[in-house]
Amino acid sequence: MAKGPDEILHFRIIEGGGLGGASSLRVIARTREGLEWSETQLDAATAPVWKPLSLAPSLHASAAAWSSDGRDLFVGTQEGRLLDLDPETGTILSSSEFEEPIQSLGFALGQSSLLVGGAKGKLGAFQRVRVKEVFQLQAFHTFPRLDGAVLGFQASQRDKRFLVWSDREAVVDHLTTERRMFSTHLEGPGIAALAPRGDLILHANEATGALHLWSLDAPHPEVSFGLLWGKTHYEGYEKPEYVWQSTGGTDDFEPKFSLVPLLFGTLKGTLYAMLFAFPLAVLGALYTSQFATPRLKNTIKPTIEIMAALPSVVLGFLAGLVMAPLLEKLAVEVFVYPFMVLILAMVIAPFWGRLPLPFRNAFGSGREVLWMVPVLLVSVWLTSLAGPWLERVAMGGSYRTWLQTALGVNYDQRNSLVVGFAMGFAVIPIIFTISEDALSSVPKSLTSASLACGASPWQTAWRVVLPTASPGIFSATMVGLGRAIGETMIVLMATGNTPIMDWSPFNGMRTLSANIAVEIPEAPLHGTLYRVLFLAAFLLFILTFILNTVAELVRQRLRRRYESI
Amino acid sequence: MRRMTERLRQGGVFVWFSGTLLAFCLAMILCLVGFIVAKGMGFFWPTELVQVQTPEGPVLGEITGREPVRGEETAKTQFRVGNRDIYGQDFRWLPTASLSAPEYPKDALLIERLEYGPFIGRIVSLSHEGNQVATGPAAMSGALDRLPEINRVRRHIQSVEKGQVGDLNRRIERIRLSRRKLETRGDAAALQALDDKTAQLQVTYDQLQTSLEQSRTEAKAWTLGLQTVDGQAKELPLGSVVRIVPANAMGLLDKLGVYLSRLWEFVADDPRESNTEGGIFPAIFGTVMMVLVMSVLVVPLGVITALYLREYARQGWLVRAVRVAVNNLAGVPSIVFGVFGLGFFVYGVGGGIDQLFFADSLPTPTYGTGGILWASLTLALLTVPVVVVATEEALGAVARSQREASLAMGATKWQTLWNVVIPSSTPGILTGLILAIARGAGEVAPLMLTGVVKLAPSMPLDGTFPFIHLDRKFMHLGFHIYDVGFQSPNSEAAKPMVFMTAFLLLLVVVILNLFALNLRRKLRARLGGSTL
Repeated sequence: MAKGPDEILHFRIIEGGGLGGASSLRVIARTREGLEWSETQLDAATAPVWKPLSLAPSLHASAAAWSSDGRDLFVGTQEGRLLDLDPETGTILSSSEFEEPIQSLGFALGQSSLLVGGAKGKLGAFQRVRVKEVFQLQAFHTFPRLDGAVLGFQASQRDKRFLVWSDREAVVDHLTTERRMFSTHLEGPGIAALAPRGDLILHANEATGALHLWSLDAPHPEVSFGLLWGKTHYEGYEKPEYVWQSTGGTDDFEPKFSLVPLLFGTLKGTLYAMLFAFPLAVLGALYTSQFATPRLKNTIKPTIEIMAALPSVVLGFLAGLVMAPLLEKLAVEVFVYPFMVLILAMVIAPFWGRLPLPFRNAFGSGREVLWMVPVLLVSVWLTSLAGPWLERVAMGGSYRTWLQTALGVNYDQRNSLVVGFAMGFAVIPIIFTISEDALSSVPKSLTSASLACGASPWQTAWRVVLPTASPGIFSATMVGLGRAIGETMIVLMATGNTPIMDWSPFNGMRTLSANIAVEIPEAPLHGTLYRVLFLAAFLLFILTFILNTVAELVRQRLRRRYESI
Repeated sequence: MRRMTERLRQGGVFVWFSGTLLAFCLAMILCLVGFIVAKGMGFFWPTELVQVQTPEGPVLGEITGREPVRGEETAKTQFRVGNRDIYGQDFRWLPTASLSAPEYPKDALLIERLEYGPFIGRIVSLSHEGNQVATGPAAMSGALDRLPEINRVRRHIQSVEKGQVGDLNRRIERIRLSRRKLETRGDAAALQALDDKTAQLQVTYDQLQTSLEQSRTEAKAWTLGLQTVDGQAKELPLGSVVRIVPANAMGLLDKLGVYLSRLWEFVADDPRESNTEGGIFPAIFGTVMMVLVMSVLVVPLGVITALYLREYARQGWLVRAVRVAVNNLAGVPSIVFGVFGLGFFVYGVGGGIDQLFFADSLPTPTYGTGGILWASLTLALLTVPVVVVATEEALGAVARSQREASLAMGATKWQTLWNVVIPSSTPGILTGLILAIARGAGEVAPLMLTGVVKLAPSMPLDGTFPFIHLDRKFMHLGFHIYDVGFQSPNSEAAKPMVFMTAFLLLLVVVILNLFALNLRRKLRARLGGSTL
């Protein structure tokens, strides 16, 4: 039977679970021999029953704290070890090295991050996290050292900052960003407190009884440059990661403002859109400007102009509600289709070659587009036959399971392919129009000279026209990129808006622009989220500004070059 | 082999290849536009009601989709069975193999009603104040006869509720606000006068309510006894029936009539059932109004900028930089404009206006929240480059001889500009404006931040003083598409509405664009030369 404790280290009120469950008080205390703990029902007036807790003889406890549910006991020792104990059995569940005698323990808001202070001023934060199916104590933040032994912690009730003090210094640090927001010199030991709003710091000197009050104005403590652009180790995460998650269900939620996944999503969407749009637009423009008959040209250009006029919300709606479910059903067909066109064209080509030359010249050249339309249509029909066959034979009946087992890829309905198609659709007319202008304006003297030297029309187009107009095409691409980067409605409706970082074409993403559209209506005015979203908008602005300026400068140079030829 | 390589070098194949890509582009555009047109236009046509026997019982509905055999999935047919209040869902997928031969019963009906989507089934009886008046076919013809009158009453109730009652409420609210102001001053006589006024209004209000109540009972007096195909009964007041469509018993002309009346409802009515049914008149109105306000703002801004750049400014690096900036502005993502509009116009300027002029109604914001004025201003900024570029081009197209003639006659520079240059460049300016309108009408992202809502309680233009309410929030076609298609709880049932709205938006935007581009092409033909 223990005699009772010498010094109480930590106590915590554990809320009763379930309906009518009584709350209880858990206390951990130190005696000369070691540690003792007790649990008392709050509404029962009984004396505490102290149960001893034995540590290994080589360990001497210097600080202890209960976890938020009271099931774990964290113990810091003079040997510099941090232990996670099961109080009922006294077994060590996990332990971690602190490299300095542990002087005091505390918690940040949310009671899940354990703040640890050393006897020589070392400061760190630990958490219990599941690594490979096992809970472990893990050091996940370190802070600049304090001058002298750490005497105590106090967490802000608003956010993840905390006050920590020693004999000679009191500081306020932020857990997530590891930023030091406040630091002051103290004269001797005492006790310090942080106001609930985190804007006032009070210190009472033990020796002289002097009270000191400081005010702290740190408007957006949860954001730092490193948080926005680097990997950050968040509570509950196994390792530092790029995460965007601006709001959570509880007040003690740790906001995660990494812009990297959003920037990644933007670039990914843009990339897939450009992969789709660039070849179609540039080769289409080359064909229109160099090979098409004037009459055909006069119908192609207005059609493309209509394409440019399609409101992006209509494209987005089609992508999200029509194309995404369709693509989910016909994913195999979509991949088979280009090959089908190629095969069919190769089958037909010899027959075309047999036709008399005058016929080919009269009806073929300049009207290839019209001849290809039936080929494209027939290919659709052939693909609808070949697709299911291929899926049955090569993929065992379902391409989704095949993707899952063979490539380890998940298929989201609203994925990058859908976005690529839809956004490509928005970008094609832009690239097409500017490229076509540039290609058409290549001086006639150049092409005539090339043709006169015996080059075929294609050789002229590929070797003479295209290189001459390449700055125009470059600038067209820049403008198209700018459009794709800033496009909002299409990605909002067709991506699923999950901020994940994965290059897979079968997964979705969240872009900077869609993120702004989703979150800014709910962001409190002048709050951190509001500002971060403004930063995202600024980033978009800068990106497109650079692209457009480069495009404009290149275009101006090209214009001067044409004038000089 | 050598012939092959020679051919490849000659590159005829590549010509074909690039032609194929272009053909693919064109096919995509045509498919897309055709798809929307077909879906949008077809939706209002009364579809036949098909009755089939399944192992679980009979099913009656419109066939809305079929899915072929695929892998392990069997072929399925989608029925729109309606009766959301009874079945819990509008659509059912049934395996095609289990269905009996389809029948087209003549007495099957589709009843469009105010709540729960359509009812599909049969009319059994017609009652008046609880007494059965007719059964079977007589009940149906009786209902059809009475429907127009009851619909008229319902419309009357709606218009009174929206117009007069809303008006009264606003007046009482205004009195309450001025009362609050007076109370702080303590002017007893004025307070008394206000109280008298409130009492008067209250009397009018009560009278209105009584007459409304009377109309409501009148509308509720007639009820229909309905039966679904699987025998479940349902009572429905005739007052909440919008339209009775006996699709299988209708001739082509009748169907056309239903089609046109549905089309009219779509264009001219208010939305019902959280925007998934009814019309989109407020959205059309909001879009048009926003575009008009935007035009009023963007034309002076754009034209004056272009005039200065082209006619007055000394052509140097500064003007070149401004041109690059204007071009840049055209490339800035629309969401960035939205963020700017929110931060600057809504919270900045609007918040300031509220502090200065509407301090009594704070903390409820008047201008310090999204509204049609801020949305229009944001879009005006967004579209100003279009107008600037078009105007500059038009100004450049005015023949030098005309200007010189005017100047030689002794006109000043301004007189020349005002009387010669601007009139002859009007078509160009107009082109710019139309292109700006087309761009503005299709833009949604910035509006989401600056004042568009899914359901606006009142229009930005109405009969109450000062008639134009630029502080009000508004509905918009583009946002309607996004909202109904993606935010609606029942997006499958709302899909046709979205298609129709998309079709309408597309129609407006494409017509405006074609018109403007045609105008521009004619201008350029007159001028000649490249536009690079």
